[in-house]
Amino acid sequence: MEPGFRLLVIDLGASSASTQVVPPSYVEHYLGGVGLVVRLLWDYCPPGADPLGPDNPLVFATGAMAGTLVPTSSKHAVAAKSPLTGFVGDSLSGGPWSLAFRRTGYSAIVVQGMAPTPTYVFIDDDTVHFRPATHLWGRGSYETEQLIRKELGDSAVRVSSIGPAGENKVRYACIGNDGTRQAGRTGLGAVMGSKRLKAIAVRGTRAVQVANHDRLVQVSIDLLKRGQGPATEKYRILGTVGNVLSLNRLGALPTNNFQRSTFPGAEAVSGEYLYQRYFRNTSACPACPIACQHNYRVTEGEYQGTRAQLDYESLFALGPLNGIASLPPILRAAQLCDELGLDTISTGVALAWAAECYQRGVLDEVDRGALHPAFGDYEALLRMLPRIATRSGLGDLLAEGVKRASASVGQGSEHWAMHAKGLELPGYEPRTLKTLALGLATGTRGGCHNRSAAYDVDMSGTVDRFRGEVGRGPLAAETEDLAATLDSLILCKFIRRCFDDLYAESARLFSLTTGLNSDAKELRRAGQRVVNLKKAFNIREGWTHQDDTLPPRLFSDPLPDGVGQGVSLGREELELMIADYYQARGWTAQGLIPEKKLRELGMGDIAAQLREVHDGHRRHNL
Amino acid sequence: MAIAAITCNPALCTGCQVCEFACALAKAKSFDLEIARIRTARPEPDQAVSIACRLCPSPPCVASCPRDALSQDPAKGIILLNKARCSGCGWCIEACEFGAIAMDPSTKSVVICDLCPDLPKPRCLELCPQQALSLSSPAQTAGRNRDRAARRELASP
Amino acid sequence: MTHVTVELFGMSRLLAGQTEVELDLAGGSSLRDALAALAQEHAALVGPVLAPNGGGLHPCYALSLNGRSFAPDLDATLGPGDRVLILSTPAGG
Repeated sequence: MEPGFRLLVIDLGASSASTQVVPPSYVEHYLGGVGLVVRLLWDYCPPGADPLGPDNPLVFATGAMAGTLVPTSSKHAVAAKSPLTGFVGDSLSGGPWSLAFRRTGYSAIVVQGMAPTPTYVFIDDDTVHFRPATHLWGRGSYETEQLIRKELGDSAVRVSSIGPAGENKVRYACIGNDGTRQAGRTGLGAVMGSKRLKAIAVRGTRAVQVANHDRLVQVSIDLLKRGQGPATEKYRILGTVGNVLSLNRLGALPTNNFQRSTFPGAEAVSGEYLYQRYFRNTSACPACPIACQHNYRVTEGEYQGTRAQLDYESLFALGPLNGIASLPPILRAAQLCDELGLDTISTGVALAWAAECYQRGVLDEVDRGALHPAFGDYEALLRMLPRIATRSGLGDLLAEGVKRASASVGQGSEHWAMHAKGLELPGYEPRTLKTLALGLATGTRGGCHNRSAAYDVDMSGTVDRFRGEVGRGPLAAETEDLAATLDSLILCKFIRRCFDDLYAESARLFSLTTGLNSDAKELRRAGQRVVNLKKAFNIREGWTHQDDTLPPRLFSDPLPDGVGQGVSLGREELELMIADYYQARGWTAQGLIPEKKLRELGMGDIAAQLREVHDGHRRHNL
Repeated sequence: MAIAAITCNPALCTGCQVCEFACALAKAKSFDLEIARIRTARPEPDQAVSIACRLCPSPPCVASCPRDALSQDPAKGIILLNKARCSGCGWCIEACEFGAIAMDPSTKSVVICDLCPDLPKPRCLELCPQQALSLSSPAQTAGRNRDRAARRELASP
Repeated sequence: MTHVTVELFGMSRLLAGQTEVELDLAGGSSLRDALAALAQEHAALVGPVLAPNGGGLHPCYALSLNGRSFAPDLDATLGPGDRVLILSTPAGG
């Protein structure tokens, strides 16, 4: 048995590193992954820290099961205070890096401070090296990986790195690993860039030990087999890009910056067509039978030589949202975003916002005469990507994200700045998916489908998805808790349908790995704790009820066509659902967490610290 | 029976490394992938292939061993190690162009795929989620490739 | 006679090799009857998409009537011109 989770604390300013042990209660309460990175963020981020200053820590953690054969466990979570939202920023990635990192013997890293010059960190099992990265500065994410591997002379070295976007603190820069995977959302790459930390390279050669090896292996092998069955077929064969036509038909495919929810060019950018025309093969994270990463190649024409991975979110954001109905430039854009280190969702939403600004004559003064984004103009979109990453011209404005960009441009452009809490919205139309609208409005990391997953409710057939009503609160809380549990264990959401009883079976996996007692009930509570912890962090950073809202467009512009024609989102409709949600969570009518609630969840330490911060504010205000 | 080695079809391999886990489980009842006799290479982010001992008829590893610790089983083609003679110098690792030999730090000697003689079939073959692995003799591999080439040829107009 | 159209999405479309299937059903036919007729016409869908013996859809697919309601009652009677959608349930990228 291992002595719990080992934590590596890195101080970039002092080029020093120390090893600590994660308090066992953190693992019992928050499991690992997202739960653990946010718990560590709570400890290491001083209240009110500047997201792009040295005080904001950048935290990484795997789940307890990483490094074992448990299918889809080879993932990691990253957190910091988000430069987009000013609230909790957390993101997941997966792949060989996660496995190699766990095999160094560490489960988590906290990176503090700021390096005086560009630096990369090499964690070689127990040994931490600080190495100059000046020669890597300005290079693409994957190129950086290759150069580091070459420099260290070992192809087993795995690298997490930022591209130029992170270096230039583009507020939605991502952190990439293994060439094709990204901790994409909430701008964690900008935090890494602000620390002048180009990359974290790892070489792990240690075997992960678990509490009950034989049983865990047995259960894992069974799950591997189920993971090859029909429950994962959607992810294995077509991939999530299959959503394009489905959502289009359901009036839920955001098009031309959410001006409409159907896209006339949908067939041309459909997952089905992509599969028939450009699909090459799939790749998997370690120990995963699903292999959801779909690799595409363009072998002829203007974009010949393009090699890219595409999922639904990237396709929606770089395609229909920008009115683009041609796959080769979309694939090229996805490849460029990965190289530059840009989150595809936020990038697409920022460009669509700009396209609408030009459409309405709002941005004419900026970058006059230069190219400008326009719906359907893929050449302009492609040319804008490096400009965003390097913050040149209009790119500098868009690099701020649509919340800040629209606030600085004004002229009503806030109306079509499609974000929640500063995080750009994902590819699901909230006006025709009303439970999702609730999830997006209340989500702690802002406009995010992955942490809320409330569209599962809208698609379940048990509710009227066009109407928000009382009763959605508990349902949205339930999908959010489940997502928090999976993201903390960590198990991939794509394996969720392979379980007969997800909570009970994954509690068993967790127990067999850690030796800690767990069951379905305890795991549900852990999910609730993670959601409450994230909320507590936001409250600590100044969250108020007004932050739980959605862009004005959704309230005032009815959808012009499709099955959702004429539908908009009522302000009262949303407020009603939000109140219902707060109640389901046991929060106050203002959305604050009562101390009693936190204590009930065994989070007395958080309650006490939250009170301290509050009292401090009050004293300050006097 | 012809000599058949573990062969990976790169068109099916997703790089999931389950074969590495399978091998570590079969050989050490652990998740110690360092001693896996089959390893997954990812030369590009969208390409992967797993490689185990090729059972070369003229094995450079055997020839390279300065202490004659390695020999080849004439029937199955697997490389046999005389542990008492192995000094752990790693010369065989340098000689193997496939990177199919690993050093086991706990025994300070090398480990090579033995096709899991005690099991009905090699553990990696059994667990590969993509059925990308097979036991193939050179003739079988050539036959498969011929079939593939023929299909391509006949499919083109 | 009730004429209905089944729209195929995702894997169901690839398996059937077409985007829509037109069905002429006896008057008063139910959604279940439509799926059975579809299974008759496209055997490739049975198993991966359609449950055998008229049992509805594989759990990873969703059924929508005219793009509005989900998972409608399989015994609901279809009207002329109804469109039955077979969708793979969405989940995030």
